[in-house]
Amino acid sequence: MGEKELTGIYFCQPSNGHPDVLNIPELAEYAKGFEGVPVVWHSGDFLLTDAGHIAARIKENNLSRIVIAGDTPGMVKTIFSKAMVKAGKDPANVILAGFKEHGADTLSGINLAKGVLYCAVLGVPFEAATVPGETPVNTETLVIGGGIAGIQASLEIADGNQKVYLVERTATIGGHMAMFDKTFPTLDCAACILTPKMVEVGQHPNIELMTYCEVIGLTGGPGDYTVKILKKARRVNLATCIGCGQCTEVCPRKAPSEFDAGITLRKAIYIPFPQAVPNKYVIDADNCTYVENGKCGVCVKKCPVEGCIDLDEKDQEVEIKVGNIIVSTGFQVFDPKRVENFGYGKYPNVMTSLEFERLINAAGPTEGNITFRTQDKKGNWIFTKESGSPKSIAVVHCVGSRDENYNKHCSRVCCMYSLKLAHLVKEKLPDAEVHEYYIDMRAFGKGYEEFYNRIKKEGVHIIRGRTARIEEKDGKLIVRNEDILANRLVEQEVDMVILSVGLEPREDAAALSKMLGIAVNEDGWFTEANYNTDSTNTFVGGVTIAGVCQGPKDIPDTVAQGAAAASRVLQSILNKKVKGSIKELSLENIEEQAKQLK
Amino acid sequence: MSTRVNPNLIKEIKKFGASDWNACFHCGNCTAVCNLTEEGVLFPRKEIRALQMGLEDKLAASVEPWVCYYCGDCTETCPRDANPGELMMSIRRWLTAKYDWTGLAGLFYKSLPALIIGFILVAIGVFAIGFVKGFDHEAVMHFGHKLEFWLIISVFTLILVPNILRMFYFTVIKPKVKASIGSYVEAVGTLFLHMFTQIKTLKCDKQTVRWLEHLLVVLGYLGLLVITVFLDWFGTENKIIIYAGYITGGLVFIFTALLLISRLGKEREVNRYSQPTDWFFVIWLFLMGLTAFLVRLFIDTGLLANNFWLYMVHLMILAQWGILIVPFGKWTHFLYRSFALSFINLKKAANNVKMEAAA
Amino acid sequence: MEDEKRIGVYVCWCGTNIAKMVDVERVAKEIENLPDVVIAKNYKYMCSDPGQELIINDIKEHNLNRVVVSACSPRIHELTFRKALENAGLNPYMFEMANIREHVAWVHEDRGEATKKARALVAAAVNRIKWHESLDKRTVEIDPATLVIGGGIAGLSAALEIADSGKKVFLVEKSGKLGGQVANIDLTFPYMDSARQLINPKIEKVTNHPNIEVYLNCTIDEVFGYVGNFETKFSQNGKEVELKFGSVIVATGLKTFDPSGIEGYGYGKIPSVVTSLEFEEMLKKGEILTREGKEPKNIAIIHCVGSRNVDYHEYCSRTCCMVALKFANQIKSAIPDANVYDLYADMRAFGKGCEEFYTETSRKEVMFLMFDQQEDLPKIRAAAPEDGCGILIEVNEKLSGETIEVPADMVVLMVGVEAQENAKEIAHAVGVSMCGNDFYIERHPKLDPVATTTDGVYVVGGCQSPKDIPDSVSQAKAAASRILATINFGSVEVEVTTAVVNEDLCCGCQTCVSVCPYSAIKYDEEKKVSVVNEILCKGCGTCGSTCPTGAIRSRHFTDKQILSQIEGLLSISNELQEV
Repeated sequence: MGEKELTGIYFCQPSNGHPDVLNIPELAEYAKGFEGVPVVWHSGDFLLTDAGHIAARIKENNLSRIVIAGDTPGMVKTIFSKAMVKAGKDPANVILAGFKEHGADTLSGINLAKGVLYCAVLGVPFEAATVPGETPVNTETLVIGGGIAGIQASLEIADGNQKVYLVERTATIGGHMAMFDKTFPTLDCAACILTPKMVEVGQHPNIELMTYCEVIGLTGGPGDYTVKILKKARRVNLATCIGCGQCTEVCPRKAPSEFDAGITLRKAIYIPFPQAVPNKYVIDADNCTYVENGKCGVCVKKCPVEGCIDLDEKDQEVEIKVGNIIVSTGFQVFDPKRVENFGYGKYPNVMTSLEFERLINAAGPTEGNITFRTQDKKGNWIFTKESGSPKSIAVVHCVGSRDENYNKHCSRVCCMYSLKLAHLVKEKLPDAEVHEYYIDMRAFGKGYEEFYNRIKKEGVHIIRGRTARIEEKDGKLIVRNEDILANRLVEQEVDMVILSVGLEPREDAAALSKMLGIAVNEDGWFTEANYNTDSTNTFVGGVTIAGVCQGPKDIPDTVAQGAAAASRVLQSILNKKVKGSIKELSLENIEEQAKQLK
Repeated sequence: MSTRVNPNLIKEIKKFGASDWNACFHCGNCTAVCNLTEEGVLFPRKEIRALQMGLEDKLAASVEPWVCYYCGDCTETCPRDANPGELMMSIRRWLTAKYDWTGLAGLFYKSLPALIIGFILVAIGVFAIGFVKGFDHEAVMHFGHKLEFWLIISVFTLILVPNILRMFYFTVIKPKVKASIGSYVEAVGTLFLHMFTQIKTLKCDKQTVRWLEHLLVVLGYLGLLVITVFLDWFGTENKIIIYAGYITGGLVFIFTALLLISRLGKEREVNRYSQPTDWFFVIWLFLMGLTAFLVRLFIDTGLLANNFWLYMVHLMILAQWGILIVPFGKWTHFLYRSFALSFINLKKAANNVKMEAAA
Repeated sequence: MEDEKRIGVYVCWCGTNIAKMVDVERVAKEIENLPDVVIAKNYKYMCSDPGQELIINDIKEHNLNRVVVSACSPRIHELTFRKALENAGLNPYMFEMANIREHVAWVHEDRGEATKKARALVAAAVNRIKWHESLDKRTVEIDPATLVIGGGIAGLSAALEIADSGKKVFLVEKSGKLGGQVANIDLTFPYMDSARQLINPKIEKVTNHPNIEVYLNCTIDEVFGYVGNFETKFSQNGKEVELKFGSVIVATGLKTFDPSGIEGYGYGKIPSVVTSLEFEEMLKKGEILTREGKEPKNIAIIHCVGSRNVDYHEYCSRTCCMVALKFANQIKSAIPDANVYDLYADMRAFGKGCEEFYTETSRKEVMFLMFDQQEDLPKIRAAAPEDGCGILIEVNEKLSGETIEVPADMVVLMVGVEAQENAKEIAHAVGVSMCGNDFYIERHPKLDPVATTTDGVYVVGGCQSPKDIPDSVSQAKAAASRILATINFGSVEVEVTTAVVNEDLCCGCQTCVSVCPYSAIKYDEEKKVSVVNEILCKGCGTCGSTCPTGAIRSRHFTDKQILSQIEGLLSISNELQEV
């Protein structure tokens, strides 16, 4: 036990994917200064195909430990373990210094990378040596985004007797989940399970709901953030509006309804949907005649409450002070117009899954009947109850996902929601033929495989083969596929096509990440502090992420993550202190902490 | 009866230029987006599968790679960037090598040095002939004309015909495709149709210009071949033949120039991945047309006697073309593709009979 | 119970939601004529602030002691109106809602019929409320300590999250060491991080944490008590340990499927057929060797062993596809010339970074082969010496349509996961239910994935259903969050609409004990009567309906109240009266 342990360091080639490349020469220089490190290797020094050769190098340098440093050093770890055994050493002494794991894989993180290296060489856990300083915490919390993740996080904290500001960009909370008809695999009505939670948020004494607001600036630090919020002019007084609906009846302007995924029109003064929280009207300034040119104003005239509608209201800026911030901004769906071959936008009865959810919902334009999109007298494309029902529908998986040409990632929920839609079609149109075209059927969760088996039994034709083209011939849509398992070409005639569009990061996600100082990964999702052990914290103290903005996931996983983010907030409140940002730690600080642990 | 999988076939085909074949995760997009696929004729995914699994016999028996006209739609839309278009091209090169009984096609595809040595040897050979004949232009031209004739016959009988028969063996006989006499008769018609029109290309999207360029090159080349070899273009005094020769020669070198520029510019999907054999093929065709054109021009303007080097160059190019590129290079696609399209019909007919029997 | 019943009735328009199908004004007018109804009003939006103001003012002005609101579903606004009553000084249970939106306006198309039905429902509510009683809210204190059962990654994460907040945790682990399944593996997917470097710091932190007491080699037989006030006893090394705590987190994880039950795979018979866990051992040891001690040239990996097949387990085990891809990468690193064959059914690479990992693995010359995991499993047999390999696998490969033979020197079976052997015992001990696959059932599969119907008991990680490390940790923290919130709040409200036994009428038949789904009724041996634990009781009414003597009374759902409700429904005459 008296002999000193000698460690060899191997630097992997930086992997592609990240715009900033780690400065390996600088890291190697830093590593050369370590005590007990007689040799530093680079990826060009020897091939990683001959374990015997590596073993010889280990023996010749009398090493008893190897540190592999790189973005994902585990990719080469196995041959080093093998080499250690061949050299007569303990294979457990292969340590990984993973830059990506600890968020140090960008050049700006080079000090962090050095810290990762230092800890690995010393043999101390990185998290233990990077305990940031703590600061007193303001017990109020900001939750950005009022979808199910934000709602869950807010309720967890508010039920713990703490104040929460829930800031939501649109006029109501509810997010995408409010738009769904039924949820898989239980086939619960989405609105029925969501609206009680929305009402709870709206009524909770500890939650200050700020809808139609956006976060525009941030100063301060962990535990003490000053957040600038833009309160967009709703032009309708939240306190006095009684929701009678007379204004919307007389409003002359219309615009596509965001809640209905654009398949219906709503007025310029509107409530997004009947169960909206707050259940008050809002004016869409972009489509209001008065805002445009000062004319109209009939809503004011009709409104029975004096002073309730103020068409001249201006946006306001307010500031709030909070100790913690939870980001739950969700996602947007892929726009299939980008894929010319699918004819979206060209053929009226090719629609996205969200559009179909609204169509099949009882509150949709056809009261839940599945009918064709047809033109009305003015030439608008609309859904009506009378336009006849399709006899065959195709559901196309992986639109915009798992595709090097668009989004490389898998959107995780589309397989299940596609099966759900097939089921709903069969429920409403039992005689309709439903064809599902998939690549891999990802039915992985609790009850999901059973649901898949159930749909198979319902007579849905489930075919492995990615749809390549959708064309029109004689009024029918032709879906062109290879039916791989049956070894035939499919040119299926259908009446309607549902494109299972994938999820992607919101367009403003990158800007928000910069404002908060958090990172995004190569797909654009917010980056967590540690993929395995900490998917809600970030490298910025006091800022946590939850829900799909961190990566695609279904409702149960989103809810769990929302609550997990709340846990860290509650922890800081109970401790009366919040942990600072890891990225603010200096290299010297990390080295000190590591030495103390040794 | 189970076939053993063979992970080494991939390593073999990699030598023919394939790239990223294993990224394919069998979504079937390529087969579905292709305009030339139809019931019973499915590609390129099935070929990629046979390749990944090392099913060599299945791959050698497939004629589908020849149905592909490399429009590149599959590569453009492939979600894994597995480049099925270039993979089909590599399979075609591998099949060319497989059909060839001499093994030289395989050698030239896999080894660029071997190809270059071959070119140099042939050039030396022609030079030697010229030297033996004392560079007398009439003697050499007479020899050259005879050479063209005998070259065609020997290449045809010794290499091309046996290779076509081998192709027939691999694709029809070995997999036991049983088709009626009637379908064989029909197949002949198909053969000549596609050989001279390449009309199937038009089924692909946005390939009209490319089809036209290619068609003019083919017709020009065939015309030039007939006019120089059988109508003795360099020796004749018949004005009609002379002008016809200029026209066909001109078609050849002008349109191959366009194809060359296309390959340099890499705009079309088909031109993105060029192997040395692709360059040799199109450059030599260009030079053939150009030098032939110039030789006759020199003859007509009386310059040839003092510029006999031009004819020597032409003869060298011709010899390299006829000895290396035609039997062992890309030229063979002209025959293999045309025969493949007729064999496909045999397979489809046999399949129909099988399906009717089963019904 | 006050003698004079003064009922206020409010009929809501709900904008046009109700009013377009129900003539609310007429209903209000008609109801006002019923006995004991002091006032009956109609209003556009009862749940709004002005609507609630209306109720509060009327209570004070007209001295109302009961309020009926006919509007939307009580699930939406019962709490709202109960609070309004409290604000006006009334007991919140002197309130009843009649649902004339979801039950009438939203489901009917004939205005006349709808109005009649609405009128009947309101009359029913009015009749019922005459028999309502004041019920007092009940809260219980919360013991801030937490019991965590299971020392795997989920248990460790939950323990640390709570302990780092300054609260006490008791961590009980049935084996002799902490770490669970993560301690058995080498690397994690998809970024190939070291599992050891992940779990060891956590184990060390937990073992040395001032707020955590770790009990190894112990199992829990029974947890007594109710939310906020639990206790348990067990013995450790001969010593009796008694613990008191307010919340329980069950994080008992899963075990792997034993593939010896699958004949065609030859596990246990053919020596170099190993399970994924056994392969992880090899990877940790740095040596991938066949049972004969040689390095394999061909390795086959088979997915879905014991999963996605009704003969074994119908469910998907969720993580095996990614682990298989991880293995393929590791094999290629250790033995670059090895041929890797991956036999799968569907490639479930759905997580963050996982599809990209699948793409990267594909490019490494791994041969992927597809089989039917339900109908057509591959057949593994020992090979003959002339075959050039140790094992041959016959597969009907679906992507090519060919029947093929795969040579292998080693086969790795990606075994599925299943409930622990003692899953039933733990479930019984803490009072949680199990589903058909023996996973623990959460309170709501979508909106409450970690809480259970037993207040104060949470299920997290694999024992709730198979999942990977990130999702297990998320669930652990979610449970911690709920517990921390409850602790911070200080107390927990418990259901007051519970059952109560009239001891004089109880005949001691114990039928109620056997039917109670919450194990809330106990038989008192001395008094020979049943006793309801009012904290555990959820007021479902099952006991009341089975009691042969009528000794059990469900508060707020008494026979009198329900029968009056029915009478109210039937009493109102069919035709709409003249108003």
